[in-house]
Amino acid sequence: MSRTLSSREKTLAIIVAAVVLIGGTYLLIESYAGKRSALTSKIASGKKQLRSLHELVGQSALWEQREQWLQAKQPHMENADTAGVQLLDAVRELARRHEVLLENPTIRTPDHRPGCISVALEIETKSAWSPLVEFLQELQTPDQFVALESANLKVDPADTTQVHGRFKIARWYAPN
Amino acid sequence: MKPPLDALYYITPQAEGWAVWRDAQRLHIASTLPEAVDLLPAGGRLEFALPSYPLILERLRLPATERDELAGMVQLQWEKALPFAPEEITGGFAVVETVGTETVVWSAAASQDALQEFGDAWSKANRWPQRVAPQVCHVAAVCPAGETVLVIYAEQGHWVVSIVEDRKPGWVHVISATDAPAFAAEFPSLMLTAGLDGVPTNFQRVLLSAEVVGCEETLRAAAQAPVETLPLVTPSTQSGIDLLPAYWQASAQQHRQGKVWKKRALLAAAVYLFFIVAGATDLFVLQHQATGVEKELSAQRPTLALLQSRQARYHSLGAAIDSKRYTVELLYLLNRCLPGDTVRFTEFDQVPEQWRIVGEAPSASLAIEYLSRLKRDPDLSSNDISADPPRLLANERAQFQVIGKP
Repeated sequence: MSRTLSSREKTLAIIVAAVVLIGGTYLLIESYAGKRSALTSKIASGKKQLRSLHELVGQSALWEQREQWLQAKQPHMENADTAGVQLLDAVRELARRHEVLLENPTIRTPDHRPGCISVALEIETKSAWSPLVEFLQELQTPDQFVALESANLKVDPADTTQVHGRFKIARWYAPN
Repeated sequence: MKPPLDALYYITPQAEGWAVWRDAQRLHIASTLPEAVDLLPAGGRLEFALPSYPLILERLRLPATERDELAGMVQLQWEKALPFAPEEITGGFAVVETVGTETVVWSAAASQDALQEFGDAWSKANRWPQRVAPQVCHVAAVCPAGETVLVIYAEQGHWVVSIVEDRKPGWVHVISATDAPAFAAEFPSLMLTAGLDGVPTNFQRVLLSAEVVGCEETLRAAAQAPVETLPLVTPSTQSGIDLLPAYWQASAQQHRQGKVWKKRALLAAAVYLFFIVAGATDLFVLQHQATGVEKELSAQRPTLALLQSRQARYHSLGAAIDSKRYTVELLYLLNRCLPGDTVRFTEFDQVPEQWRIVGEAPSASLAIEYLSRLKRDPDLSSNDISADPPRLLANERAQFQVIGKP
């Protein structure tokens, strides 16, 4: 059974309806703004990734070349026992050629890493700056796959023309 | 066919039931007022004609000629004579004649209670007339101009005797008789009363409605005037009396305001809905775009994975195959930035995570200049270079230490 609302009841009903409407609208707007912001960010992030991806894909020929070069040039280890000795011999020969005094060589066991097998040796040197620089320059060329995993140089306080060096030299073989 | 918005509709009482009119064209006959109201087309203006039986009808001779004065006197008369509070009375009057300083008026009044039965029908339909006139005014309007005419007609089961002077009701009486013998018995005393009230009883003609049958002889003998049939009573806008009660007006106003607010609410709802639809469409379009981008990314992901693995492998071998990362190259860059021969290194350290140089300069400013050169060097820009403030040695040279993180 329905009856006509009194003036006070109408006012109350209008207030309640307004509160519900405003609250509902606020929730709607908040939800809309949140979803819109999330979608906009997602699109912006996706487009950024796509741009990077397209740039990368544009360079795919370069990376293909580099991959082929790596496969062709990176040395494969034939004998793990002699790899360290071979590296030491090569370093020793290089040091001799450049009149760098080599001391306390130590060969480390091969280290299997995700991208390579590292065969390392530690050496100490004593020489003037110039031979040392020439030695280092000839030691590291791209197709030798030789890395200096650590290097420490100290000028001799007694004779400032002499430099004491301590290096960890490694050859990085292709993984099996 | 849609009725025009400015069409004028009437509901008038008939001998039995109610008639619905559009201007002078009768559209429907209904047995009750609620049924008649329901038959009204939507839109258009409405006027309602009241039957005479609930009205208090008087002929008054008043000592004034100005309408405002007359209105005040009529109001005073109602307050004196009627057993209702002034605010409960709805009434109006029409000037019948003016003789010197006196005016004869015919007044019609009704109490709110008497109008309640009609108000209920309008209230139920939530529609209200804009004007309410006594039906007798419409009847008077169809009489010949310039004549005094006796009209007897039926409305809502009652017989009404009306003396019309120049198309204006001058005296109206609802009689109890509803057949010819009773009328013949009651009519002489009625005419005597009219005569005592100063109403002219010399009629040019007598008009009888079709429902009042068998009275012709009585009338012809008493009135000594030709008896004719009352023409079809069509609603007239010329009646000068408006009995629209104040609370009907308020209800009508409220109803109109309600309609305006309803329209506004509908408009607001439409705008609200528009924004909701626009928002939903916007989200849908964005979602569609996001899905498209996601699909494209998914399609490219295998290529990306392959490229990234190649890049990672190449970069992991960078210390061995990238000449820019060789120790000798780093030494060259660090040496290139020395501001002069007097600044030199004393120590150099390099591990994959960082490099460090210690050196000496003749002054702190040269040491700082060296640091700024290192930071400006474009080939060292990929390194995060930092340094402590130079430390002064005993030999007055400044010792510096610079750390770089590739």
